[in-house]
Amino acid sequence: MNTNKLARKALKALPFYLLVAAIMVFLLFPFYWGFVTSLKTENDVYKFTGNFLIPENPTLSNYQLLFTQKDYFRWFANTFSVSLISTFISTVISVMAGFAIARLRFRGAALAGTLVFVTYLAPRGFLFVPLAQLLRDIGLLGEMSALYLTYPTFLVPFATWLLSGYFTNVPHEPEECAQVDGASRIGAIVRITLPMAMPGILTAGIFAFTASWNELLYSIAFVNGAQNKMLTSGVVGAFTMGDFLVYGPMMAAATMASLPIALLYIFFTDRFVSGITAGATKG
Amino acid sequence: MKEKNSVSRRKFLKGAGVVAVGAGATALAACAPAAAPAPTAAPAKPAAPAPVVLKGATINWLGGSWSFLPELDPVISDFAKDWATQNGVTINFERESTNLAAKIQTAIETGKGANIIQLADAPAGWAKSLADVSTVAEKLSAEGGGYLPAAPFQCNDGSKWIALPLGQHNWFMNYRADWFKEAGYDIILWGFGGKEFNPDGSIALDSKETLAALDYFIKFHKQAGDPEEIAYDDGANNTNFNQGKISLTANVNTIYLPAKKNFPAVAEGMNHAIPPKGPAGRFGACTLPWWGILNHTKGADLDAAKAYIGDFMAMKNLGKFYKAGQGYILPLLPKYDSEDIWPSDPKLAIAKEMFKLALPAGYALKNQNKLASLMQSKLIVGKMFAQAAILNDSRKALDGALKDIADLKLLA
Amino acid sequence: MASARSQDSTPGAFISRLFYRESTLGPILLSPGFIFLAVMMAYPFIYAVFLSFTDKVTGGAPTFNGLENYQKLFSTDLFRKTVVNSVVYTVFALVLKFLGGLGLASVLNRPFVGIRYAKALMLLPWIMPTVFSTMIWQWILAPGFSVANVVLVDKLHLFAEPLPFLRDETLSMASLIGINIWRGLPFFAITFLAAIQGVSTEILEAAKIDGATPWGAFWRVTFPIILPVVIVVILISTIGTLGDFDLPYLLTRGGPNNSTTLFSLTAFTLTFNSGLIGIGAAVTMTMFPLLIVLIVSSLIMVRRRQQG
Repeated sequence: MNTNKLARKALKALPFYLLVAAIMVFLLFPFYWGFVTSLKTENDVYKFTGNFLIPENPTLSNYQLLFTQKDYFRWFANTFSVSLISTFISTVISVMAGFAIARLRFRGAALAGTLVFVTYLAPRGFLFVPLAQLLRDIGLLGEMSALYLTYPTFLVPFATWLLSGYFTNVPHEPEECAQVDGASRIGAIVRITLPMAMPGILTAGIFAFTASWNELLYSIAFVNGAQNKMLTSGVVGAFTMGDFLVYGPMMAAATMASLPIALLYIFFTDRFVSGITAGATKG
Repeated sequence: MKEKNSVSRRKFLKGAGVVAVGAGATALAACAPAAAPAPTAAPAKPAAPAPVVLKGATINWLGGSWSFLPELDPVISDFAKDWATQNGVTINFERESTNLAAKIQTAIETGKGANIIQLADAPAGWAKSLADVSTVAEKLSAEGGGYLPAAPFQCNDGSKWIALPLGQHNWFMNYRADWFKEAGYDIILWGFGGKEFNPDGSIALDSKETLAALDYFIKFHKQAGDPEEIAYDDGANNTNFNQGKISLTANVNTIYLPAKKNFPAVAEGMNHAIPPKGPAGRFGACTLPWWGILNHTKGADLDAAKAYIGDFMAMKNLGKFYKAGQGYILPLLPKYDSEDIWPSDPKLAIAKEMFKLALPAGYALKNQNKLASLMQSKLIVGKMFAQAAILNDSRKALDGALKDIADLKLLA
Repeated sequence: MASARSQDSTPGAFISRLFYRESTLGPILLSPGFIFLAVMMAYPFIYAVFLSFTDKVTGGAPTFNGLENYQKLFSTDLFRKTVVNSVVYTVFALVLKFLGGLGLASVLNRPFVGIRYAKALMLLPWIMPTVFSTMIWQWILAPGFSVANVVLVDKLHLFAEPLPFLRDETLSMASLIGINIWRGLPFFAITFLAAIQGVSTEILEAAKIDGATPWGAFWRVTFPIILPVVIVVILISTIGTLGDFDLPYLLTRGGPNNSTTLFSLTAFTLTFNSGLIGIGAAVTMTMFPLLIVLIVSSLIMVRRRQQG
């Protein structure tokens, strides 16, 4: 009786689970395929007979090739530090600006909000030539620090906009109470409001970090020197052998490069989502 | 990995050929020599004492990398290391494959960064930014018995040399001898008497010769083509060949050499052929990788860059580069005929017959111009052949190409 | 009051007053962002607008040539294709992401075994660096070795011939749209889901009591409530999709026959491969009217919704 009921319930749920499974396959198959390819020997990579979805002679040689690639770890470290620094810079700027736009009444606040959003529209390639000249004039062109300044150009507008949305939804009372209790305004903001806005700030930070990690154009054009490359450009170049695309190591590189970002999101998905929606509800 | 496809797509379809700067940045470390050269252990190369002015100069070299033939890059960088030490010059190497054009653009627009660039699309496209290197070119030409016509065609703008050809990529026909040797093929526009330009600079593509070449290609494609063959991707071209999927392609030895390493059976069964003779004669298509000096390079740096290129490209030295390339890059000077630079592998022996045959894109102009270089970078002719096979209509394909050219003419 | 004024005269008090008053604190907090964006974006932006009215080419000096670039552009096939492609790409990708996102959100709104992991894994396409995910997709669709073709043709027998994913003009665009959807769907679904779950259950209960079907309740009750989120997500995605560069650049380079080139890519190739900087800038300028219309209209909708 009981098992019967259970079975019927399971049967009823079956189509639903099949649907979920189908969606997950669509979304995740590319990663699986990339990963599987990265574990194959060069000859097996192009073999589609038998069970090609599982590596026949699993090998780590592609990873070995990747890790012994000169400067690979250097590129990894570069990408990490550039992403971290530009994330920090843009988050600080955006928290200040977002807070001001959302919670302080002053002349031009609304206009500032609109302007920030408009800058978000500017496509990157468009600003390329003037930006390069600007960087030359400040003396940063060719240095990795050029990226600390240029990455925030596409991070600050979105982060500010997101955070201003988030700050509007953080209640005002606790901050006011703290001021009544003798805290300075800045003190109240830092100790009371910022912690309450942490999910939003985290979201902005994660967004900024991901976007920096994925950047391709500026990192190539504005930085010189093989040692100063980022993962994206370095790895792609390294495994394009003449006219040959070497898929095995490239898939290993893709897997490795995605790992840090994937981990970041697995830890922060819930917060990230709540941050996006809370920020988004206020246009 | 797509960047390189912009430079080297399917030469098979291309007839007129497009560049193949090898790509892939095998991160060659910056080759900055130590500040204090070891005087006694100086390289054996007996070099004339350097003019004092060069001392302290800096040369930044920027280009793609030939990572598929790992023997090539060191020939360049080892020489540079020795040369730099001897002359007290700093040479920095940077190899970029993903977005080389953007990087060169940055250097040009800001006057900072690269001094010497290595590229394979037509120098005419960069003419405004390239320094006059006539003195170097004339010296090299004289040494080697006079450049073959392809060199001035591409690297001389009509009044001066704006670039120095490193050599030529010459598209051998690769075919698998154990498959259909008799395969009739001639995809090359010129073989049918078609050409892109008249000598006076007007467009000559709209001709019955072009249509005949296209018709032939459509027919050929139906007989021999892989259904998926016409993709705009060189990597796939080569990979397909090595996996036994297609049996005929025009390419430099980027197929044979890796095949020899990874797919011996394929290498065993394949061979290279001289492009077949068309009604109008026998033509090979080639592109020239070249070095140029960006004209923001001034004073001692400019002198050093010229001296360095002159010494590197001197026959005695450049021959090593050709030899290491095993036919991947062929010379442009007739005197190499008798030099020991030719591939020892019998299957690559035709390189020696090929090297005097080839013409670069833009034939029959007097000198390659901006429009020709744009057509080359936009792969107009290759696209036309591909479209002919896809649409199964040579007239439509030609009209498409003509419209593309008209657009380019308007914009440029 | 008097004593307060006397305190004001000390510099410390002056500063603390600056940091207290909203009329001064606001601009102070705003200034780093403002200065940064003015220097790093507004100035290059204005300069780029200027370039679009000049004959600037690589290595040459810019000379003002009025609307010439635009006139030339508008008569080319390349530009016509760019506009059509961009609109097709954006509209199809957006509509499908919107519908798919709503569908997927409602699937996820039902608890099931492993939902936590599903939600976390699902975001992968969205967060993965486009460079690398496109590399994988290229490998999946690669002519001759396409695992997609092996599955569709050899295993499932859905097609007789391998599909020329990156060779055929229509299929290339379809592949591009498909990958865009693949990349963006998780973001749509997860944000929609969060918004749906934020709708109070009481309202839904009330609707149920009034006899609304789940379908009706969704469209008449839930959807209007989550509309602001929907609009914002669509807005963000529209900007990203219309201005998309990475995907077409890495997957198709705009080919075959310019069938997949979009605004950013056309501007990029004209600028970098052809050295036509002025014309490249003009291409980018032409996408602004489209963007501005989209953004203004959606912002108005949001505002109206919030007031109503």
